[in-house]
Amino acid sequence: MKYRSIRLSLLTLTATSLLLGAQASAADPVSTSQETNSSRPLIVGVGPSYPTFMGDETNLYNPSLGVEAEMIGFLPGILGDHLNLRASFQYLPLPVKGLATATISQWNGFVGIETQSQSDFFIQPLFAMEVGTQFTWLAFNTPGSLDNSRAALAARIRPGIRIPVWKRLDMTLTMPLHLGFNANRFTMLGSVASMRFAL
Amino acid sequence: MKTFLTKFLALALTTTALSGCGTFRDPLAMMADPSKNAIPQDMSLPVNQSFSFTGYVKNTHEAFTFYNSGWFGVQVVAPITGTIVENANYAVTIRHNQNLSVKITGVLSQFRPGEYLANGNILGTTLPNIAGSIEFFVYMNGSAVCPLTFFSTTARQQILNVALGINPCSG
Repeated sequence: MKYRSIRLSLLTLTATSLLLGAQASAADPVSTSQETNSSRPLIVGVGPSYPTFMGDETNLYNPSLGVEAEMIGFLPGILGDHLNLRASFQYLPLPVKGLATATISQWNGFVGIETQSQSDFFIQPLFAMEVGTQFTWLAFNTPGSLDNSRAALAARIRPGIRIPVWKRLDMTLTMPLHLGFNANRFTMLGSVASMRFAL
Repeated sequence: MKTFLTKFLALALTTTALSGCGTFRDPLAMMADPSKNAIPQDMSLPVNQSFSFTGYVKNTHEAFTFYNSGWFGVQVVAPITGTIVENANYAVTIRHNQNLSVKITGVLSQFRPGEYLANGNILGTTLPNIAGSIEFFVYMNGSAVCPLTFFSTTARQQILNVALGINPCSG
């Protein structure tokens, strides 16, 4: 199991490296001369998230509202003008069906890259890939009970759109596909509405 | 670029190293349904199978009562794989999946809610000072049902043998 996780991690790294390399070699002098994001080096965002469980988890958990915070950094010297570094942190409660005495909480932390369309259209599509850790914690509310927790490697791909709202305020709607590489492959499709503010 | 990738690689490896670590068991695996929504038919008897009990089985409010006047602190085993969700007043409840849970009363167990047991693991003992009588409940979607159909063929036959031809589910 652990070796498989390592292999998956290395595969993700390889794919990321290839993507970064391809992006760097394909740097377009015309587009780089246009307005870049370097004038806004950091964006922070926060918003609610709602999961749609997939596979066996559909029967196990009740979907419940969570919250997600994200940070996007523009590092043109490293990633070029079209790729941004992003980090996100998500809290998601997982109410277990038929078990009111227990609560599962999940904290997910990711780092990855994000790119978005440079078109002039009002709504701009964006796409991100992330890898990170999925930490799950189970607690019972009965006295003397035992907590269980486990961290596992996780990855996400998240397509979405960005809608400018007001000056430095944007709203993004994304649907991250979450793959947790734990024993039973926790999979969910999220819906995240995030308000982003450029610092 | 190289520095960035090195840092990224270090972070990813740290994440990988953390993978699988944690306290006790994976909550997601504990809550996963081992029978994939199928009704389990492999439950074992809650008393040690090698013990030749001479009690009787009867249907009492959708529960089986396993009885033997000679039981003082004999082993009780987990009849099914699952997570202990309650252990109070000599009653232990094991959650098998989102539909099915099993409750055994008259058992002295040190297990705590949150612990995971496999079918056949020692759950505890009958009470040491009172002649052995344990009640066995199966709950389907919160309602008690006759446990007979969930037992393995062997266990079911043992129950029918001591029921002396009377269907334990007929009441």
